[in-house]
Amino acid sequence: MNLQLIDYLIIAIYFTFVIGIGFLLKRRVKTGNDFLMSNRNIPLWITSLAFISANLGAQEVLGMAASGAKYGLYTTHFYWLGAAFAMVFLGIYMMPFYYGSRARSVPEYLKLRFDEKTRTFNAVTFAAMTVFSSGVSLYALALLMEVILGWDFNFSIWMAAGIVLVYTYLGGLTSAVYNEVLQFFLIVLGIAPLVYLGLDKAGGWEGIVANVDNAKLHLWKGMSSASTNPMGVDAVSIIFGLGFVLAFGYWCTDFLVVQRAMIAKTQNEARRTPIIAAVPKILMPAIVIMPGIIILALQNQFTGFELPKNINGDTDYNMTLPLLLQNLYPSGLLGVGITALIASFMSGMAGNVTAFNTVFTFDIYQSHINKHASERHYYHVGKATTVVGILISIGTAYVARGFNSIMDLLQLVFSFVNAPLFATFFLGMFWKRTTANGAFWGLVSGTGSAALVHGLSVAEGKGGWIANVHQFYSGTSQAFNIAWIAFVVCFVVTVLVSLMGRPKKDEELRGLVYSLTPKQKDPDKVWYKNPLWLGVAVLIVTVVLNIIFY
Amino acid sequence: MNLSKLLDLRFVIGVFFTLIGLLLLVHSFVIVTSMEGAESINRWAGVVFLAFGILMIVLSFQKEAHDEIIEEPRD
Repeated sequence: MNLQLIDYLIIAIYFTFVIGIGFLLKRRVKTGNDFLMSNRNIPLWITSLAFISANLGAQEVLGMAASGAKYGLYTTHFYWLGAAFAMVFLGIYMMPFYYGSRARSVPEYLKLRFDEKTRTFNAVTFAAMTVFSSGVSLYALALLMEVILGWDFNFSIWMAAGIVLVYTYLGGLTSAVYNEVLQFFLIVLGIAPLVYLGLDKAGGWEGIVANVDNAKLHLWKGMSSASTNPMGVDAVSIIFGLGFVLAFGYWCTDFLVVQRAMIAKTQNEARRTPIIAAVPKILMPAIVIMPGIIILALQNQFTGFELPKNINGDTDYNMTLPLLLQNLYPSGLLGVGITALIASFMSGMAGNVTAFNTVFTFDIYQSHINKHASERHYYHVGKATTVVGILISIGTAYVARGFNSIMDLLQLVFSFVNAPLFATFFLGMFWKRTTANGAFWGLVSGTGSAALVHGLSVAEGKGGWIANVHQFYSGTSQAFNIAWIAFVVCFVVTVLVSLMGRPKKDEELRGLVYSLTPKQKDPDKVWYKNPLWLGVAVLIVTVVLNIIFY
Repeated sequence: MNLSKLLDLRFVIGVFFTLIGLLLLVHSFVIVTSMEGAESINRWAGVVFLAFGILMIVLSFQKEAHDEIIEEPRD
């Protein structure tokens, strides 16, 4: 596609604002605490939108449109099953421990609840995962810009990484969070017209129903067996694997998102952050998945909407959104659409980088390398880590080739590292008998079993690097199954090892474990200020949506 | 208007979308493109962006705006 002057102008204005926000916030950032934790001083609406936006990276915007075309409405499970419940649970039950314990990061909570080795294990795997995700984001951006705009691959990588570096280096977490909110509005307002124009061209919802395979327009129909739905999964693996293990593992323990709630001004606002964020989250499929459904309807009625093949000869679903942009947006709005795409890559990358520098500084550097330095010192370490993190991301971007679906790859990594994690947090927060050794060996064996299952099973030609013992119907199904197996192994090992050891004293666990923490009495009687009622309202809407699109 | 207005995120976002909206509007009246209906698409999108931008700017002038601005850290 060809960009005109106006499109470049819009991209340039966006870059100017993004960097400008970094400069504006620069003088407000003086200590490590300001730089890495925003001094816990961010208004509720900003933490909520940043919470959702940090997750609204490229894998969401491009990947969900791709999955929408590949799996149809089944993709919506990543929202209505795989997000809403976990986000509400985080807000109601888990946030009091994260926020109330004054931990500065998720790994630091593990240090307070368990011990140093559990924290270090989590910190190191998490740090590796964030720079890896950030690199994958960067690679995907550069590849996309090369394919659709003919931009030089190297130019895109260094330009995007450079801009993210400037604004996160200058303004730290606050700057990343402010930009995430701008990116959120840009993505939503930049892609919403595409859905409108696409639906209009496809003949409205009737046009969709008439032209798209009926199996792709349902959420639960055909879920009784893996062979009767487009995603190739069965109800058990999707409910337990995605809805419970993967979703709770991601939303409730991934510091990338949890960090956005931990910088709220009060505990009540920290608790409401993920619940308020769940509102745009459950509406998001209209923006990110609908394009995938729309392209299917358009393919049936018009020419020019056929998805290209990738180098392996498979249909390149990731081109869904770019193809629609090219066909439906005139220059002008096209600039906004492209900017929204770039914004999604940058918000995903900046989210990873800011989570990485916090975890590295507090959980690796401060706890193992230099324990008692000044605030100023950790500020400089945080800044240096930002630069190093981005350089590693760039390196990863050059390595990260050979995988055609960004979504599958990220899911695989998450399932190894994140799946067992939720068992550890769940037991740690709700069973005071859990010991540090139990948590540590549970995590190690959970992650190990995830890798083992992947090595012993094959799906769509992937996995089975040890032996081919089991064949899964699809890669997605394999990922969901790995997740729940890792969870169960971690849960069982943690319980068994805990029962053999001596638990921490009750006094040490106050504020860290459910049964030993005084319940928060919310003085606010208004329902929308009470996390519990707010959460219930969100879940009712979610259930109703599931029923409507049965 | 003082500099602290620029630290109110609502104001910054408002200015951004106002600018983009105006650009699209001007573009839709000035440039003729070959794509069918291009002018009206840009015009409508421009109106929506402009309205959103102005709304955010108006919101930033509400009286509780002070809460929205992060405090100056102490040295």
